[in-house]
Amino acid sequence: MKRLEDELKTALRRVEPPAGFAERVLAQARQQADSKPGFAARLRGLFRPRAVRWAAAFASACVLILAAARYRQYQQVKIQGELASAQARQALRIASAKLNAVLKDAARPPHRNLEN
Amino acid sequence: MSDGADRRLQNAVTGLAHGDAASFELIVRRYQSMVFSLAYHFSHDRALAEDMAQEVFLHLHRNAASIKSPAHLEFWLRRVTAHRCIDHARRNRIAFASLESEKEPLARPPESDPLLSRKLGQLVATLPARRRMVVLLRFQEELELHEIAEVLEMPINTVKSYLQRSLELLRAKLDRCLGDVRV
Repeated sequence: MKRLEDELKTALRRVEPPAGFAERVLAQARQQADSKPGFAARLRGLFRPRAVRWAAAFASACVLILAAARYRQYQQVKIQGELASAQARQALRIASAKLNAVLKDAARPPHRNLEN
Repeated sequence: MSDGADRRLQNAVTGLAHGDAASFELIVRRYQSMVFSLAYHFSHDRALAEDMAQEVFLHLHRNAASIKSPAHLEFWLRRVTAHRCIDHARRNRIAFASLESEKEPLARPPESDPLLSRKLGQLVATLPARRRMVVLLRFQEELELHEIAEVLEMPINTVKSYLQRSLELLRAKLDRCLGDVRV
């Protein structure tokens, strides 16, 4: 096994990259530095990892569900309020009608006095 | 490495974090052979190895601020190269030459001959991606098992078994290729 390991070290010794490799890397790095991403691209970059995308989608779904629940709750309160308001108006109308009747009765001269 | 070279590298790592182009150039020239060789021995394709090595250095350029020391830089480059190679192999299911397609050697190879080295290199390239990288880190980079475990983020026992199994496999394949020649 030792011989195989020695042969592997020989076979896998480091090799030099093709001529001009470093220059090409440096040129690309300069190009990369010159075209730094804008705000929108950096913002998109934040959402690149899969886990972050899933988390963002989950958070958005939660916000939508919460908003829907709150809207439904608001609608129910509004309906109850309108119902209560209608009942109050109805009660006022009934009370007003009864009061008017009482006032009319009170304003009418008594029949007995006229006969006397 | 001499003290002067150590100091230059330390300065280059500091400069790299501040976006200094000369520091980046020094680091590329210092580590190009290491990164390219890992990619080349992994893929056995010079053009592909050059592309992967370039990607590694451009990734370093983008993440320069995260490098803390020369030792960290070396570890970072090995780790990024190893993971890129393995990911690339998984994505593309790189087809490697089968042993049957290899020509039989014409004569018994002498001690450490280039034919044997070439054959071993080809055989290494037929190993599964992660095992191949374990072999490369062990015999090209001469890393200890615990260092390989850190680079590849795997348990040390897995590294041991991968290495042992790969060596057995390589020996068996080599025996098949070279007939009765014992290595």
